[in-house]
Amino acid sequence: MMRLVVSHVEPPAIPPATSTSAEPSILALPVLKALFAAWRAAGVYDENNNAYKSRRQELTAALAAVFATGADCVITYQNDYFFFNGQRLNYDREFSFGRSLAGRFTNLQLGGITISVNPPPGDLDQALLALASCDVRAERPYELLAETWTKLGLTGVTITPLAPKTSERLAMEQPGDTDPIVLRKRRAHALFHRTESVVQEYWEHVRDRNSFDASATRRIVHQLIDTIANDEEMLLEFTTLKEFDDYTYYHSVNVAIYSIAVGMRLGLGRVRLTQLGMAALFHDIGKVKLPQELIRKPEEFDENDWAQIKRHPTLGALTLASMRHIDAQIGTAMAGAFEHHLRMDGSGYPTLSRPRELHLYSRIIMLCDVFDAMTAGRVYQKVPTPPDEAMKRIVYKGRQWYDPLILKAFINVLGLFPVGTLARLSDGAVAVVTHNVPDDPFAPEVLIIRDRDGNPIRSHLRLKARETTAAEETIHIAEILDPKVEGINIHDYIAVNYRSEDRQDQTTIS
Amino acid sequence: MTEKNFIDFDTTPQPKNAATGDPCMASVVEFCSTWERAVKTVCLYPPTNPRPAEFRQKFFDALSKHLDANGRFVLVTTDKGFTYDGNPACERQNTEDNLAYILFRDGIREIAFEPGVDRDETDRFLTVMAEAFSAAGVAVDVANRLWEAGLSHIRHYTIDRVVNGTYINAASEAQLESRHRSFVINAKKTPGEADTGDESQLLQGPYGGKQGERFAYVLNVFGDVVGLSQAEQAEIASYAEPEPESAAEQLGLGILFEIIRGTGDALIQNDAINMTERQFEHAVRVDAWDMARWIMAGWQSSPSDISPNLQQRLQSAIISAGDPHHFERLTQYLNANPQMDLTEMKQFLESFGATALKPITAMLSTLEHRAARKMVCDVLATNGREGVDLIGAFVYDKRWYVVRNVAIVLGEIGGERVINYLRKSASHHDKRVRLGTLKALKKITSPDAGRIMLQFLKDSDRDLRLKALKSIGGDHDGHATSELQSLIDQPDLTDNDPEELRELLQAYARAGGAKAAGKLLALAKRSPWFGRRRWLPVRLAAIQALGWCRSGPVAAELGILGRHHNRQIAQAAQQALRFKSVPADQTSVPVQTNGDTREEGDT
Repeated sequence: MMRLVVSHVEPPAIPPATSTSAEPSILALPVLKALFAAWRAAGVYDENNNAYKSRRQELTAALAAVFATGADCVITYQNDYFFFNGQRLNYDREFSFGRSLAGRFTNLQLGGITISVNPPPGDLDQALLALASCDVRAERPYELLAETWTKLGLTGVTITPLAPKTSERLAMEQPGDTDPIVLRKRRAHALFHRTESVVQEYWEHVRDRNSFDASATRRIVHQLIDTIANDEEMLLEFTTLKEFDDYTYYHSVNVAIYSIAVGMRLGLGRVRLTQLGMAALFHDIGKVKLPQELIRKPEEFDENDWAQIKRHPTLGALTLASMRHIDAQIGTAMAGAFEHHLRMDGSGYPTLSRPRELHLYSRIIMLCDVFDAMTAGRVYQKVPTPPDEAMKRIVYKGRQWYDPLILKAFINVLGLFPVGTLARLSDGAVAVVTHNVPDDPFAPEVLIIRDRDGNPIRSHLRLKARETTAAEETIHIAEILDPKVEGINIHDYIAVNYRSEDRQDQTTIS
Repeated sequence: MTEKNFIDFDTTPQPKNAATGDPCMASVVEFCSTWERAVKTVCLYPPTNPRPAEFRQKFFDALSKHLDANGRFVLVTTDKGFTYDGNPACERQNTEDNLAYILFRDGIREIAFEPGVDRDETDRFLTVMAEAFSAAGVAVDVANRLWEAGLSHIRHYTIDRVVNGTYINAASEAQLESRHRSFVINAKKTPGEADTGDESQLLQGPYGGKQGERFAYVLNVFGDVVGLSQAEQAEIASYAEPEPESAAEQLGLGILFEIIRGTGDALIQNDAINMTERQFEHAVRVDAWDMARWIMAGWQSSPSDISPNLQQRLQSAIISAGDPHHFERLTQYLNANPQMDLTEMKQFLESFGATALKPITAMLSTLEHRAARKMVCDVLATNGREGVDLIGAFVYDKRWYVVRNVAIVLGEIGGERVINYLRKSASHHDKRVRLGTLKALKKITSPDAGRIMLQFLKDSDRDLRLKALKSIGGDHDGHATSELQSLIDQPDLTDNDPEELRELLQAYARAGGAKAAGKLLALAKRSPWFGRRRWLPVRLAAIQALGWCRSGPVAAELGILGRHHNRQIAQAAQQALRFKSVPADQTSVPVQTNGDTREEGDT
């Protein structure tokens, strides 16, 4: 008998490929679909039943197509995602059963199944029956399953345990991590990504079922509010990360973070902050109803694309209204969705039948949306604008397009040189803005990364207020630099270790 | 705040020794009991009742007493009750009446009470618990509601599907407010920048130049970027007030109607109208009649230049809103709220126009309160012109009060088309219906109505006969006069009671005018040898009636009778001479206002 390959002690060895696909692999979907169907059938029928046999044959056929390429079939489940031979699958329409399959993996604490090329006869049947008959209510279901595997001596099909989620691991207090700042940062980062997961989940639910768990979204907004109250700067730092694959979701998270921070400046109470946060998370929900290829389109939008895109505020409001009856939460969220591309002077879209006064939340969300969209260069304009330039343009349009009071609050949150701005200081050194100082939006805290001679250094400096710099020869921001021109990646200095690549690594390589 | 002060997460009760007889444990048990009773009382009684306030105070007292004596304490929640320090403090075998289960269900595993709690905080806490405890609170997420209540000294510890771990409600009110305070204070402290600059410099690409100066210029264009004017400070202060729920609901509905009006996309318009129809259904289901009224107004306020298809679709929405079930629900609501102001409800019902006359009329059969019935009658009177047949069909209803109110409504509507229905109700077996019909007929100036009224002269009920007599005014076609004359010519005329006799002769005088004078004079002078006393009331009534048809000869005759040796006759004749005629309806019949009224025998 061949040696059984069961790994339930060490974390799974996931293929190193980290790329994601916009569309599921042609081979992956039939395999997963057939596996899901056969697994379900094995739970209901015995192996001689025709219904089971039929599903089993479908699985064999799907696997044969994979084996024809000479590769094993490696299905990995981690961080709520499935990976097929290293390629991540999105839960789109065709993979809508993925959530149910994910539930089965989670219940068994199963992190992966590998089916080697041409497995020994009977292995696949026994594996399916073992998966279907394992008691998910057991305290450690995976160990039970692994035991069965050992008893059966399955060699062609191997399993791996579920690894902890990245966000959980990030939030875990590692031995030696006693620095409270590090711990708080880890928690803030975990929350940032959890929020993205929740956003993604409700987008998928809205798309597939036109419903979502409002309580869960509300709880995550409460956590955002708590964290912004305590660690606003940390969350703002994470909003500078713009390189994620599914930026649409992160855009919603960023807008929510900015909006809540502005709402706090305006003295909104808990209930209103929650409404504002929810409205911000839902502001782009109308995009669910647009073709996803359009949303992900990397090129500039043409006229037809714009005509489609301009429908999303209306579609968003309708989507929200269709979920349940209009109450305070849905009503304000509808306003956020419908009005976030309208401007104070009546310009913007959608076209209105008569002028309307924009709701407070819409005025906040509009501003935050513009800033994040400009700095990301992913949503409407495909080239990112540096944060200070984005702020400058916003301020320049201040009275015409935006609510001046909210703009002041927004500046109070981000400063005139937002976090992530690369600047040359008056003494010739190059620095990255790391923190805004609400007392003086002109004088943020910076991290000097090159001295006046161009030598790399790391030194924090709180710039002094402009009033003093006029009289004294103290250091101030003299010039804003383009990171690309300077060949500098600001995420080597802020939100360090939290870049998308890092996240990807932590997601896929255990 | 991130300190994990809570006890570990094992919720298995681990009884310790000395559970019994421990004063602290006894106090916790007593507190749990008070808590449970307070929540139930708050649920059971309306806020105006003194009992909830009494129990809120008891809860606060019990909590304060325990905190004063023992300090901070933590209750662990399970689906079977609360435990304190491993000992059961409150046990329930089922999920009914189980406070702990309500918390447990939503992921709350521990709840901590800390010194410093005040009455306001405990009140907010009890309100959230009561909302969750009541049947209506099935959808309330207690963890969310407790967070939003902003409790500083009653904290909870939650496991959460979303966050996959533990979570403590960390931010205090002070922390939440600190950003706001710093914004307002800084704004006051900093006057703002006011450097000048050159616009062309500003517009020179994103990089290069002195960034600070360019910003200064932008700020100059924009104004003070940091300082807050008094108006802005006042505006900020206004945000502290929570927005009324109804404002947000109206906001959402307003957006749907803006989509209907603003977009040219027929599919989207149709979707939006579908949503408004669903919202209307919901509003009816939860008795949100204000919302139903807004939606109705929205459907009707579409501009005139919309496409015929859209107009038709909106009209179909209005027609669907007139579903009979909606009005049954409304009736229940009106019956349960007799004190409510009906002005807006009347506007709401009127907004249906002629599309829902039948179900609105049917409401008359089940509305229990007079004011509501009157309101419905007013609505029908306003809207009914287009649907007389729909309303009129209710004169065949088996319930007398429905027929009576319908008759009154028909009287308000008026016109020839209502006559047939009133003819039917005029012969109704119930006197109250006939009375209502008579009142209705009085408002209709048509010969047919007059003829139906004459039927009442022979009604079996004396009051109705009297009212009918009092209703008779001028007679244009002679029907009334001849009908009255036939009654006067009855051989048993003297058997009538004096009042009925008087009204009969006066009606005859009003209807016949000068033509009636001869007959009346003859009656006034009639003095047979036998039966003189029996005829006296007839003579007196005839003399009084002559006041209605004065002419030269009649006045002369009255003058003679004014000197009659019988003092009663003389006085009657003198009164008749002084009598100044007024329209018949205002002489003695009190004019009934429109609408209804169940009077005698109303149930």
